[in-house]
Amino acid sequence: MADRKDVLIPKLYDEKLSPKDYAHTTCFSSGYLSQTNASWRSERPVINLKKCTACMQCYMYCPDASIYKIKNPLEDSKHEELVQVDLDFCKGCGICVEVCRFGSIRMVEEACEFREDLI
Amino acid sequence: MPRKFLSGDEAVAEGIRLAQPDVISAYPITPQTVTVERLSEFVANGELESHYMYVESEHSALAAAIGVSAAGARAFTATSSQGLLYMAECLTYASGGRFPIVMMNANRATALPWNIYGDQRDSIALLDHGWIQAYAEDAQEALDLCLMAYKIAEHPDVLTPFMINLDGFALTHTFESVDVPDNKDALDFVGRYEAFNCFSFDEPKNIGYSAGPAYNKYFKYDEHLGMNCALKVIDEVERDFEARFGRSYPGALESYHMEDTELCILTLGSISGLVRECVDIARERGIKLGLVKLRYLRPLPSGQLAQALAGIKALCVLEKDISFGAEGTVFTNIKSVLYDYKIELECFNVIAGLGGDDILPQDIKQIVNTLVDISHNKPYKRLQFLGIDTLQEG
Repeated sequence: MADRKDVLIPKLYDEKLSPKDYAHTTCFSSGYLSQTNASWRSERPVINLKKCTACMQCYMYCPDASIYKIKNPLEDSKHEELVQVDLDFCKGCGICVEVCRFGSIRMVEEACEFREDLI
Repeated sequence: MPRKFLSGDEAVAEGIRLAQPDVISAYPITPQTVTVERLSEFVANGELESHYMYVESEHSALAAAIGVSAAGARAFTATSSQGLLYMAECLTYASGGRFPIVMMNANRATALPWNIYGDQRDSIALLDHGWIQAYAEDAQEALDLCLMAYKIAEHPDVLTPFMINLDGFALTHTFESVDVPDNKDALDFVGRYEAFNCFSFDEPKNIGYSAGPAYNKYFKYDEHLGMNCALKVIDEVERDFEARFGRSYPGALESYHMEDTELCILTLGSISGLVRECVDIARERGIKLGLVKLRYLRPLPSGQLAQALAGIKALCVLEKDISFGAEGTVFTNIKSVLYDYKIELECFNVIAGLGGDDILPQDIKQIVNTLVDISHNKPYKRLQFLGIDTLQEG
């Protein structure tokens, strides 16, 4: 058996990857779930790019492991990285809003149309 | 190495002190043993640098240990009897999550009627929950298992939680002289836990997820492979242990006088000591009797069992367990090995020691007499409750 430390750990959900290749560990990059939960959601979290510090508090509490990190697209931001929510897997529980110490996450209704100011 | 006069519980506490888990989580009320009391004292007086967590139940104790392991740290917990059964839900989270937690379980009776005396129905009921299950015969073996358990459980090919079982009262509450290895030697042997399936802020990882029907089986298959790999790793770790500490262990089972034997008693745990003495007495009287002591019930050492049992005429499986409406679970496991390896012999199951009932030398003598009769083609009962059923028919 291959050394587990060398086992491929997928980055994000990838249907091309065979479970035979990844079943050696229960540890995946966040957002990697084999079944989506999006249909459960009535509200979705949105992250304020200017406030998020990527402290990862939401990652620690997210029950669906839907939090992942990206490079901050805002060039003038103090923080190089920020978190995003993989909406394929987020079931809209809002725990991330409760635990965020910077007030950078809020829930908006799914029925709400996509608007720039909600990003 | 200094010798100390220790109970089985205290020997485990010494072993865990040497293995230096980062966190110990435990619930202190009956049927908990003094193991966790000693560990809390070690932490309080600075002999052990661990975080000691009082939790509100056994279920929480194992849940906390899972959290500790998911954070990449080494975890220990201990329980017994109904406490273990209360943990049952978390057992599969630990094994399925591949968290190499070590737990001590004092084998005690299960309700109802409940008592705090030894029997193995608690752990054997949870045989299918994906934990390695080792059964110590004495306090020294219990201490040594604590050191070896982390090495086996944390091995990258194994990654399976480890349950060290000690017979209630017979081991947990009786005292013997125990070699306690030096702190540094022990830590050199056990090493530090380098987790890779754990939370990470740099590369956020997903721990404790769901996997649908198309994927689930692959995880269970890998869990099975990990458990099977443990057999090889147990041997490797025991050889390393012997080289460093001078005490040798014979792998997942011990054969005693099985090389030229016709009759065999197979058992596990502390009762092996009495059976071994009875083997010596029987052999002085010209009876070709041997003992197979199962040290590990999971993984089941099928190949070694087949090797040990091939060629004998009659076998008694003596166990402190009953699967109501069937037979003893150890007996079921042994018979499946006999069938797989096409070993033909007469075998019967003696259920004994339930609720802490003493198993006495005359009981073993009666079993040996039955084995002798069976080898002379006398009829016998397949399943017997010691002291209730008669061993021989007619």
